[in-house]
Amino acid sequence: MNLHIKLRDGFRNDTVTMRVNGDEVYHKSGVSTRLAISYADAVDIPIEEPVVTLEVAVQGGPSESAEVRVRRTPFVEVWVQDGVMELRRSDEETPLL
Amino acid sequence: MSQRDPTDSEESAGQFFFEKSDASAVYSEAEVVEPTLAAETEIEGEAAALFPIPIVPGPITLAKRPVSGRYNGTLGTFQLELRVDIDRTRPMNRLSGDFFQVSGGTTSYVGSFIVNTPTITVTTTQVVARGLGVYTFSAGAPVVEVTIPRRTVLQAQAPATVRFFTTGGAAGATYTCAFVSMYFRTVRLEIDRTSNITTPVFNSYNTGALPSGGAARSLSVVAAYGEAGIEMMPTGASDVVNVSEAGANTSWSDAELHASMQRHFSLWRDLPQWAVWLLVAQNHDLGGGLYGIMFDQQGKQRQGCAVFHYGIGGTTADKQRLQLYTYVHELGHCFNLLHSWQKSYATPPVPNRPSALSWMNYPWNYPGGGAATFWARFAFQFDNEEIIHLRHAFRNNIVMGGSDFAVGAGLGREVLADPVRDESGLMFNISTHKKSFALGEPVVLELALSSTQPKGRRVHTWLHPNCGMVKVVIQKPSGAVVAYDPLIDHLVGDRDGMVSIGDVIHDSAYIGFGKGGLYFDQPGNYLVRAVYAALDGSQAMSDIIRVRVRYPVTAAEEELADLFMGEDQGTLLALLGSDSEALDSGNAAFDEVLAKYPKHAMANYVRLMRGFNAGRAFKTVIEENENRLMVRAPKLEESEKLLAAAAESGVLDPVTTRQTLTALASVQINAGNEKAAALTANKLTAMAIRTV
Repeated sequence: MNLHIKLRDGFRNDTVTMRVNGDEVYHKSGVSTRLAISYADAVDIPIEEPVVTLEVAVQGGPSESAEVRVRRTPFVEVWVQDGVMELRRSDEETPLL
Repeated sequence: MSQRDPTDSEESAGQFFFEKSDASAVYSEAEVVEPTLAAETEIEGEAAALFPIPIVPGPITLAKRPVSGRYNGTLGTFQLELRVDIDRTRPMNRLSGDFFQVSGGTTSYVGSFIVNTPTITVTTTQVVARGLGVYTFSAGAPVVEVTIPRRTVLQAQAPATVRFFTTGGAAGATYTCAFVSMYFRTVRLEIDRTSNITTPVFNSYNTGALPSGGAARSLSVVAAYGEAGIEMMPTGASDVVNVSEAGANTSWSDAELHASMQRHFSLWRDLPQWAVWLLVAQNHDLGGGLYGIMFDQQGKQRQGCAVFHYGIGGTTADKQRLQLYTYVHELGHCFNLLHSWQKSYATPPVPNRPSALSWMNYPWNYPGGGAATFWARFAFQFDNEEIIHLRHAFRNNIVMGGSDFAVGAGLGREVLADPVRDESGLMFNISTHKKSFALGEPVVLELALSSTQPKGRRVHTWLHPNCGMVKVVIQKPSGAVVAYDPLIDHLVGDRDGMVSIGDVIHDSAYIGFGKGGLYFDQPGNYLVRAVYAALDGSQAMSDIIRVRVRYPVTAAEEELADLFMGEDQGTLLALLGSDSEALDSGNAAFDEVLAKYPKHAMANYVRLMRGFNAGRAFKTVIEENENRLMVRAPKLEESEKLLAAAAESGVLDPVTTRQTLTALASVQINAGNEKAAALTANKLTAMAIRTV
């Protein structure tokens, strides 16, 4: 199964790192939100374990971690608002427009 | 470019004024209609049996027309588009307007204003709204007063009289504006579809089909915008875009969408205009979770958007509702509307409104209930702040192709704005022969004038900014906009000629230094635009070009930048050299360039300048000399050597190269070297450029 992660609002030419159970699964510079669709980037990560710890960090900025039950909530959105990061878990993909 | 203040009465002195009429007195009599004797007589017939009680005839009051809408007026060379928003549907109690200036065959946008809190006085005869405006420019008379006679439904809409006043109460300009439309803006809408969509293009949705927060009605995209006061006028064109334009994967990238917009949008032009393109497609590269996108975020932005039927297509009520929502939402982005929860990202920022029951929200993000609650409460409308933006935003902050997405700040008077109408029959192009310049390197603009009319156009051929008939505007990397002010203004006489179709008149101009000092004095991206003042008064605008000034990387580039970037050096380059002692420091710097960097490309600009100067006599007024005049004779041999080297260097632009060869041939003739002059003339002939 896959963990589907979307970076949404609040990114501006940032370097973003994601770790699953401590292993780096994503590292990218120049991440910026496209305001017209409230979207910066997305990544699908193959997961074996039913429960994982997801950590997301913006270099020099906020970070957050959360436990994710991958079968129940395989969709995670990462929002940064007012300097605070929030990981929103969901059982279905949130549309963009 | 010689814009004046459209609010100031001084600006319109001696020009046409509309007569002010006491319209209120005229129409006050019309609001109450007394029944006629004939009407009474008719009632006495059959009706008398039905109404045994005698009828006492009384006045019949006719309803008055609302006054809100769009008005247009002219004062001298200025045009005013006025928007009055004090009655009709969801009045926002505001006045706003855009000024334009007409010059010959061109109409240019000047600026906008809005009155956010007018005092509104309604009598039986007229409506008066008055308040202090906020302007995109420094208005001399910023107080706006709009007076509109009230008319009955049987009468035509009355014109609006717009008077501007200073804050001290002195009268400024007065415009009389005829009623144009009940809509505040009119936008042409073109909807194309791709060849592979599997569900119909959306038409309309009955908002009563599912629970909602508003009255049941049939809503199309056009009707939804109509309720907001915006007239969407379908163009009638409707292309089917072959999905092959999306590549082998049949899903669209933003770049592919942009390319297809340029190919299929019948109204597409790379300038601000009230026209928008919507493509109904099946898939985007970002997958089925993307319902729509305002993809146009390059060049002149917000001219096109797309919706993707993979996620929203279908004929069930919920899909129809979702299509209506998505179509209106994406077009909203083209009007520069941000998502409800992202308003703080606007420039300037405004508070976020995540709970807004608006077309610009995401139903599934709605706080306190998500999509089901949102739909149950949603009345299918924009929120009030969005309505104000749609009706009253400063023109460039809303017009498609205006300010970049999310940028809503007024940038002052729009000196780099495109004309909104151009019937000059001329095309004026500017360019640089290099993609980028070293710091300190002379920035030379190539100017080219041509006719767009088959019969050609009579033009003056003063293309150099020194002559005052061409103005150049430079936007610096900091965003500051400055007008290039030549070091010396040449007073010029008549020099007219016909430019035929296919014929081009060229000139080149060094614009690196002028009365404003050094114009390209720091690394970064500059925007440059020029405008040619035609014989009939038209303002033929060039495209905006980007001039990049590179950061010096090597020690040599650093030193050359220092050697070129001085006031004296700028003056010498502008004058094409001088013997003046006052410019000794500049000449010393250029001596150093030739001594230390003789093979560097930039040394050729020094040779060019020195070659021109050496080829002519130089007169110096000297106090001690009896004749007060010392004449240095032309140094023809030195001049020939320098000009030949500069012309052969390949560093100069073609027009300057031709001018250099012309000067070289002249020097060679003066030196009696006719054989060399003939060879130079041959090189000139090979460069088939018509210069002035």
